Amino acid sequence: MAIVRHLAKDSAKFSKTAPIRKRASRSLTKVVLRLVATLFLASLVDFLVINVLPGSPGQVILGTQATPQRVAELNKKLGLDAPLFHQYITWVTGLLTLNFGRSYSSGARVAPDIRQALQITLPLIVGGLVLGIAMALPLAFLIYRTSKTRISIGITLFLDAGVSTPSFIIGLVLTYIFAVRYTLLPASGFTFWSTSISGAIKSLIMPALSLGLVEAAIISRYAKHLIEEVMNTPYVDAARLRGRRDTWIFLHHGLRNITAPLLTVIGLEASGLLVGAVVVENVFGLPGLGTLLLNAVENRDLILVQDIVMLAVTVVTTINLLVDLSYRHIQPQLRQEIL
Amino acid sequence: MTTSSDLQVAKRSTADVRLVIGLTIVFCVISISLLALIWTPYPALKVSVGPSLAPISLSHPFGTDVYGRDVLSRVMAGGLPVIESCVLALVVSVPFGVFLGTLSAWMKDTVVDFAVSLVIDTLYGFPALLLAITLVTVLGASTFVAAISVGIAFIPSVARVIRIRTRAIIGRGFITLARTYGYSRRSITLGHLLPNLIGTIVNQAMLGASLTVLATAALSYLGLGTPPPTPTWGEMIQEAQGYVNVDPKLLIVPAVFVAATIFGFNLLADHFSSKQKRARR
Repeated sequence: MAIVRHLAKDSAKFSKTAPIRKRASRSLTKVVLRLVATLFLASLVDFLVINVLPGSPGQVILGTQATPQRVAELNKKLGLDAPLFHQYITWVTGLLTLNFGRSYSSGARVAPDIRQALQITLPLIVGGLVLGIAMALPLAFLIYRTSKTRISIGITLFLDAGVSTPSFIIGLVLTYIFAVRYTLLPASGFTFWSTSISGAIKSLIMPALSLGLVEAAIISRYAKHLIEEVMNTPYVDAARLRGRRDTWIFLHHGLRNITAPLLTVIGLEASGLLVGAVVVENVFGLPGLGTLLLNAVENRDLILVQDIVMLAVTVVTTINLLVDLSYRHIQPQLRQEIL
Repeated sequence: MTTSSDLQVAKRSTADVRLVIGLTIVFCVISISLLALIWTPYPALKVSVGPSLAPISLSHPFGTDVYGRDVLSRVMAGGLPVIESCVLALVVSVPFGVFLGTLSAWMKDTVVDFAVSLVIDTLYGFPALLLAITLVTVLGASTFVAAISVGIAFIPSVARVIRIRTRAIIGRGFITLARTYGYSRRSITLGHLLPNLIGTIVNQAMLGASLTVLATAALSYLGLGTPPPTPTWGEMIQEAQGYVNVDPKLLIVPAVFVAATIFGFNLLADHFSSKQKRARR
């Protein structure tokens, strides 16, 4: 009897769930609530990791040898003697008004530093992404056109290797080729936009290329599936019957139809690009967000670490949520591939 | 999905090639790292075992670095923290990920599912390297901290995949049948579900290992991973960066080891994911 009731309950649940879930995903309020809840939890994790794990920030800044008295003094100076809850509220309300607090080491506001660093990191990430897509689509189409031949196997192997090479290693190899062997581009450093726009672009080419090559390898693997799929649709067959060539069809029909799922794939790469940028900036000595973060780690400037991590997590979480929403654009087969 | 039989044969053979190459690479990396525990051609930490920046020769197959340390010995010894990190990260991510994934799949549309999803979504926002950098800032750099943080960061990926696969399996007849026999969810999970999830779990474990190698190499390159004096591939790359115009092979050797190890794990992951897809058809 109990089993029957159990099963009845289960089946009732199954029959009910599908429409409810669909409605839920359509409701914008629920999405926003989910985003807010996730970001709230993320900010708690970020805050607690920095402030609660062994010892107070004062202790971490001064090191283990410091006397408790000095730690207490520093904590008081930095406003870290207030109750944790109070500190958290101050920090979060500050973030919401883009007031990122004051540096523990220099006492200056950190917001201008972050803003300046973003002037490098954002173009770097966007540049890497654009280069990645620009290389991925032709490659993926080439694989499709040459499928089941040695060329496609060769390209696929090359891409597999590209996926496996960390972007900082690609960056170092590029440095060797373009800065050491042939002194075409600067090996490190950044010329600011205000000084010389062409100089800035020059110093961003190699870093963006290192990110872009890895992205190209990753994106083209998915793009290959998407292209195969779109080129098997009836409207492509119809276009072929009208005598159009595959390249023309791909440019006029295919590209438009793979854009939505492609954006989803690119969204999945958000965290990869961000993390890649952190390391690549270090390779090329670019004073971007990654360098700012690593300097903060070195100087024990915990508030800056906390801020930058939260900034990155906010971006990644938001994009992840958008990706989740866009899954309905993707064909079921590909969904399994990605998840 | 109609595929001709020859095509399937062709697919199967490429999948097997992946398995063979992947296993070979991973096996080689593991064995030379373990060998480094008992034997390396020269002591990995000892300076001036040969001339500074010696070229490739019989006595120094990969040459020596600027301090006259044998590169082969250092690369071998540098494999150890990699293997150690992979094991640690997988011990953290796989059990927790599988537990959370199956739990939320069984508890679909309940408060538990909602809570687990929220936790997964939250953790998913922390990229592995970023979480590692944060934890290293507070706890100090060590192999343990680096590996554990990568493991934690990988939990949500495992949980998500396991949840989707579990939901699909739970909908099938043999699970319903087991329920009518009166088996509890726990015994069904252990007896019926997990055997069907093995492929997915191995696939995720391999992806996790590949991510761990990547993240720990980046961390030790940044000086936030395994602390010196233990040689690591990332640290060797970082040291070689300064001498790249004098001796590029110092950079190439550890870089090839990092890329090859990641490649090996990726091939294994690919093999297990394509195997699953065939099984599903």
